[in-house]
Amino acid sequence: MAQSIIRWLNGYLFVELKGSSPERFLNLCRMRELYTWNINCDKNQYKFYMNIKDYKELRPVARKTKTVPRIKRRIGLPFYLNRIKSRVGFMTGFLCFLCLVLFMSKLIWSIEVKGQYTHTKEELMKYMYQNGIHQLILSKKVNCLALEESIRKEYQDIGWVSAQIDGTKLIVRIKETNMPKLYVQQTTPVHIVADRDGTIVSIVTRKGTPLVKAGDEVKAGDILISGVVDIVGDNQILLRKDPVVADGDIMLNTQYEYQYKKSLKYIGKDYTGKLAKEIRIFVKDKEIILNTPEFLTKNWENTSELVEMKETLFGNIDLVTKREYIATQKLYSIEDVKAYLTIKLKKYIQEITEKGVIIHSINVKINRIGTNMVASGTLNVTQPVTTYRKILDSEWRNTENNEHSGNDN
Amino acid sequence: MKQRTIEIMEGLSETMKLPSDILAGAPLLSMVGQRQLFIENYKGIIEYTQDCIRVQTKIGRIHVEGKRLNIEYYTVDDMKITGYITTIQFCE
Repeated sequence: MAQSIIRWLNGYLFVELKGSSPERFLNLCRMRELYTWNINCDKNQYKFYMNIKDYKELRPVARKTKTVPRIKRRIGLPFYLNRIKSRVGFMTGFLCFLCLVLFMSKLIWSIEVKGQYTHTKEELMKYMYQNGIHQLILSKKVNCLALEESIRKEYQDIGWVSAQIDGTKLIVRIKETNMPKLYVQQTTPVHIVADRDGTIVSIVTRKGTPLVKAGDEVKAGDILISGVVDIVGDNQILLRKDPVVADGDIMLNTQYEYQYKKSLKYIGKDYTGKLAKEIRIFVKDKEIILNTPEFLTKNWENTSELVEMKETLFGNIDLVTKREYIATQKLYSIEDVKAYLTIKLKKYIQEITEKGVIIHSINVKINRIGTNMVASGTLNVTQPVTTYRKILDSEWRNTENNEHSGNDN
Repeated sequence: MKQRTIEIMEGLSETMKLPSDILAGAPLLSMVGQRQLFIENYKGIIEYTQDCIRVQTKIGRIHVEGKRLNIEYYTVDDMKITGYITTIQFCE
């Protein structure tokens, strides 16, 4: 195979030999190391293949043996180039085309994101763009493993990522998981402190010194379980103080203030019924919008259901249908806003309940203040205390004066 | 006389545990089925037609007969014959 390619590149000839003593011709060729191959004899006509260089040295051999070698066919690159000499422009164009196709096949033309649910494609595309991955970059510059790892690190709720290059397309597959919040284990000595005013309902200490008991009134910032443990000797003398990571379950009865405001005013849209099309061209990460001056002077709204998308070689072209509207100030009905505020309150209650807060009573009222509707009030709850404060060195380190030198160290 | 020399050389090769083609210049023939024949240590081509190829070697002539015989290649030392080979004959 390799030999055939080399022969083709150098060029070779198909020769027909006529004469009385072809055997002598062949022997002389052999002695002079003129290489011939595929020698074929058909009714006293000898045909064979020969290199161009060797053919030039054939004249004395042919004269000596009284044979006539005639070229029947010229094969190989030199002859091919000679033939296409008059079509230089065409060949240059063809070569350019080949180079262009080769180059373009090395680029990433589109990025596809699959499996997203809460994260949008745009969000992930933006993140990838910030990391230098976008359309029209060389595919060898995309490190799929690094991309997978960076996405996993950036988005805690994405549990599985797979990035692969399929031809000129980068496919990113993700699987979102609702991972529970990581429990941050305290490693340095800490106190457990109250995060708001209230009454202690229950206290169970696992580690540390409890400073309060059930029924005690506490204020925000008060130490509930101290991380400083006194080490007492047999004779009830304090030997030293050890700092520990305070641990325990404390339930605190407290009050949550709640306030949420919603304006009755809003900007409404009166549609005129006029439709127009806007052309958006996406090249690389840039968006070019072609529109008429009319779009700039009046208010237009996209109608998402009427978007036509066309994928072309150089980017995506979107035809977005827009409709004209006149912006006018309007007022929501009080019932609608009340319903909205009620939903918001329910959502807030759900959020705090998920955190382990037990709600005893809700005292929230919705009132109209001017053009605003305000939901305000208090919630009586029992909540677990999980606020920590670092122990200072001065709280536990015992410094004794050296009686002899008077030095504190 | 020539035959005698060849015999002596072949005997010597055998005594010295050397391949006989080195001292005696005996041709080496190897065949692949009935379609390919390699000949080494030949001196020249005497006759070449579609049905017969006669090759001169140091120990005599080799007649290769068959149908549609082609010389695939030939160099100073060896040659390859392809085609349907029916007979290989050694002549003095």
